Amino acid sequence: MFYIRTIFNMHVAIIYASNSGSTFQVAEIIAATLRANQHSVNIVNADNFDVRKTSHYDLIVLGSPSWRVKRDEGSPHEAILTLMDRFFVRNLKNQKFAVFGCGDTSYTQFCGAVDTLEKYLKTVGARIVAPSLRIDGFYFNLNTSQKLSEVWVNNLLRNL
Amino acid sequence: MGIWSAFKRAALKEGWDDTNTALVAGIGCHGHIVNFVNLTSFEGLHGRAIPVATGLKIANNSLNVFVFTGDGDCLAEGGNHFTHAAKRNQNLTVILHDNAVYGLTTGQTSPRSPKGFKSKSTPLGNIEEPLHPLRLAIAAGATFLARVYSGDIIRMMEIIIAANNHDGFAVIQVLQPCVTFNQIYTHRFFQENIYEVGKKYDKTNKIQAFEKLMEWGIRQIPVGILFAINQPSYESQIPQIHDKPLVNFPVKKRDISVLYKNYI
Repeated sequence: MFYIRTIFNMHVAIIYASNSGSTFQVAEIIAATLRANQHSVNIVNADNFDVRKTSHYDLIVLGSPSWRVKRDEGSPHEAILTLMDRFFVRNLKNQKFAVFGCGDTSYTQFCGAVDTLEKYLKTVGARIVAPSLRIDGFYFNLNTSQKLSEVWVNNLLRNL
Repeated sequence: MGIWSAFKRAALKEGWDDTNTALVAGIGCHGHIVNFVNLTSFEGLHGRAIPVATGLKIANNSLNVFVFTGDGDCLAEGGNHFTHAAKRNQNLTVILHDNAVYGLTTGQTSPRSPKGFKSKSTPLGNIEEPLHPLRLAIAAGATFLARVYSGDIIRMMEIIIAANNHDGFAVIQVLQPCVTFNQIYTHRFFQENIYEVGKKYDKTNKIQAFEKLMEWGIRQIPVGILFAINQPSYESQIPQIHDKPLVNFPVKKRDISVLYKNYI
């Protein structure tokens, strides 16, 4: 007898930070795809996320652009850096996460923020449930970026 | 990119297309918008978007006419046009890309650059206080004033729609960081220092609006619709185009040869 395990009705938080708006728009696409798969989703700006509610979510999707912050090129957005400090690290152990980011391959540290978030989450013992999504040149490849985001969500759901 | 995204969303939501909408841009980074929209667009001379938009609107007052301009384009070279269009309360929507620098020409101090700003034209620091476009516009007679941060695409879309629906001169000051040439007004600066005016704010109160527009600083940059009143627009007071746009009038052909011969 085969059992097909279906994940449904997850409570998902998409925590994002954005400058030009591309990361926000990808967050919207991810949310729409998750909702189409019957999951409830909150999109929250990293500045406004209440870290006490981390464990309320079955899955947290973290999104950040990669910018030069102080002297570090390819750094996560300042709001994400602050969030990383605000998280109660003990609450992150085994918490399910997925990561996405927008960037530009003409820069050396393409989606460096995604690499930083992956390292951080591994360090604190969180569970990254899927390979991260890295979008190149969102505004110049709108249709492709949308498709990539939707495919990524569907693959993520299959991985769970 | 944020402004383009917001404008595109607004256009799709409201059904703005090539039959009912035109766009005029000046010269600057903002001027590239004409290459990214599928609308009748005109990229004119530096500072001269408003006169072209004025002509468009009077010729066909059924059109939604948008002016895309920048702080240098609008407030320096185009300053007079901006002031007088506000005075006339022309039914235009001005989307002012305010990055407080001349960006296209690689980083010179503009009328919006803060005091002390170091750039290629003010290497020792700008000694002037900046101009504030919304203060100028309200004093001149504009009837719709809004300010929004370019990273807030949804709010920008809402404000663009509201500004277009307003019958009169509407100015939207978009706080748009220039990541290459302005390290003071960065994305993070605006994210940390803007606040949306609350529901209790009376946007029809001109005195309150003047006071609100005097705010600019740390944790003190109000955004949202800051002033909106109903006053007859310039075009609505032209009786000849009250019932139909000028472009819909037939052109009468007249023989002026007799008149012509009187003068030669």
